[in-house]
Amino acid sequence: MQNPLANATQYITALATRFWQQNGALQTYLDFLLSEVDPMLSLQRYMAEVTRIIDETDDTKTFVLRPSSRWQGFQAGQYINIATEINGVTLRRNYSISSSPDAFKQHQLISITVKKIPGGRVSTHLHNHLNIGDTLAISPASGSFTLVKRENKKQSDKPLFIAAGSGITPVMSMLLNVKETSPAQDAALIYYVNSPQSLIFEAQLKALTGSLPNVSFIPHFTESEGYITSQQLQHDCPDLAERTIYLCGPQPFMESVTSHAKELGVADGRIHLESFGASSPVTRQSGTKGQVSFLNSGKSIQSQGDKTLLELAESAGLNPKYGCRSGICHECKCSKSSGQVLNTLTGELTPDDQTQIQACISIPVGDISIDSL
Amino acid sequence: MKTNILDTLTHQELDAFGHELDQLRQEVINDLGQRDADHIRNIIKKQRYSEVAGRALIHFSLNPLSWAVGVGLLSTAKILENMEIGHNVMHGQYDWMNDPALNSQTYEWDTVCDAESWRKTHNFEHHTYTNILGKDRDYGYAVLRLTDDEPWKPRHLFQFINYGVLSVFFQWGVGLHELETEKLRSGEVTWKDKLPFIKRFAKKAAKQVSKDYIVFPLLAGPMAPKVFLGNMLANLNRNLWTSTIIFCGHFTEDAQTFKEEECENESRGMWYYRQLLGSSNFTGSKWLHIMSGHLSYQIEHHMFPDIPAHRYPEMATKVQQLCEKYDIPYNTGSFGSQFKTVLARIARYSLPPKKTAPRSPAVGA
Repeated sequence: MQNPLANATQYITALATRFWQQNGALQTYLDFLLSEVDPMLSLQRYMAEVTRIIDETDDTKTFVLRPSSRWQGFQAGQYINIATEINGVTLRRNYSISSSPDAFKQHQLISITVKKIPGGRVSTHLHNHLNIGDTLAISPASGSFTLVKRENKKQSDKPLFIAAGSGITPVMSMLLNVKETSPAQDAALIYYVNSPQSLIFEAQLKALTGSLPNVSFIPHFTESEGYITSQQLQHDCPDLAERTIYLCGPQPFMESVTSHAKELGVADGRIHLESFGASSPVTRQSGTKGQVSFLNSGKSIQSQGDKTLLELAESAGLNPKYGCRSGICHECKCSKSSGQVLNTLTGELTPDDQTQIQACISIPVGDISIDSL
Repeated sequence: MKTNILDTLTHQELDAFGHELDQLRQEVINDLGQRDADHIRNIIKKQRYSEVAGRALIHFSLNPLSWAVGVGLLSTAKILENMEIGHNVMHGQYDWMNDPALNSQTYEWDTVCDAESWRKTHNFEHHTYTNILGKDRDYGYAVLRLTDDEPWKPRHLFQFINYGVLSVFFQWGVGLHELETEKLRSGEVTWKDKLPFIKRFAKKAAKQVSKDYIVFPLLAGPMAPKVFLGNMLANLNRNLWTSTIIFCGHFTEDAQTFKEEECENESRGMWYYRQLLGSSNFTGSKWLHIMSGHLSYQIEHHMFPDIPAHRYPEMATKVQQLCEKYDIPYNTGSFGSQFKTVLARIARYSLPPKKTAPRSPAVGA
């Protein structure tokens, strides 16, 4: 028979482990105390300290960050989500990592490169208020816009990077990665910016492509040359059809490059896209029709702009939680992933950044999608 | 002591009154920002330090005095967590901050009452149907008779004892509120209907009990009994305090009750008016307000349940001005005097109704 004391110890250990794993008060307290000593010590969040700020162009800055030691690293082309607090409100944005994976392995540093968008609350805030020594909460790296691994082929897939504006950030990381892992790689970069002054990473790009014999760099300035055309693409890269394209920039730019590339015989599967950038705020009137998508149930319903989200969900056959149906109790709170709603209590459109809304007093304005209701 | 809502104000007056309150609400919403974020984070910081210090003193105290200080600090922490933090966060007062730690739908507080259940019974039922007899189940918690509308029975003679027991075990009363024992007794609902709730409640209660009465005492090894006792006293202090605060908010002598038919097709102005007449405030120092989760401003809390509570003092000045303008009673007084009227009310309704004429309506009282 087993020693009863050992049994008891085992039981208590199991109980303590379970208690600890419940992510309850104890961890919260430990994390609180550690964060009070130094925010970087947090065990519940990944933090990153700003170690350097580099002015790239008039409206673009690179922030060099040192993530907390538990942060797992990234692949070239991936992005992180950063949280910043503006007047009490936490806002989140995704930013591609512009530095190389090797730099992280060696120095535990990463960088994000942020272009100040007119009216962009987060980018403006980062530009104006983020200082060396400040800390930010960041997410693990994510995203599938990464270099496709070769499958033991003698000949590599030749990458063609096409970027516009701040779309260069993940591409920069990929190019650095090419230099570190396969410097003989045949690659090309076509980069569209408004004018020579808005060329982000100009010096680094020139030095980098200069040091790599098989990498060509073709900048285009839309103010003097106009927008991308099929002819230009064919001229810049005659062997386009043999290449794997990595494309990053504003949505309309990516759409036009994709259609040109397809025209020139590039297969669908060889075009990799990264879409980012804040969607432009749409201001519409009440009574606007639109499609309401409930992502967690896969159902969707047409909104005529006269019914609340709760009523729409119910008529779509969903069984959402609700209480007072008049905006008092917050029982029907749901999380909105895109689109705008009209708050019937205040008569105002919800700000784009607000994700938590009360379904019983929110009328969809245009297309919206709801994560969970 | 009941006033029929429509006896005192016309529809137009009620609409204007409601409109002015909506405006006040909007002004504050437009002004929410860093000050409010700093307030709640500052309270959380104080609460956490006092809990850590309290538990450390209870564990490692060498004499009864330091142990007592520890119990005091832990009681304070539990009160702050339940009142100014938990209650207010779960009302959605800080949802605008987008901080996952302060989200009304995911916050779980330090009491046996499951947050999900509380949002239903308190946030929805009590705040929507405030003081409507038969619909607001907070009215007397199915334990106390507080109005002549409920028929008197001999057992009500002992309701002071019930009140004492309810206060001592207040978190259990709140936690079990959704069980609707009165409906179980009458057969309106069955135990089977309540099974999902019972499971949820049991899980939360087990977690709370194991924390305060198993895990923390075990951590103290041979000193387990003093930790067990210290935690029990802290919970008792918190129960007595919250019960007292909550009774002062709705069961003072002049707090009014309503009949269902009075509240049918209620306008926004009428809703505000009912919240006002059904609630009562008490005055005091800044820390008394914070320790009560600003439920000392119960009137403002009931009119604006999802506005950060530390804004109630500034809103109260304007609400009082509006009350004067529309000649509506605003029920307030010192903490002591309000509590006295609570006790008087419990005592009065322990006895059968008198045959004499009812007191005149409390307008202007």
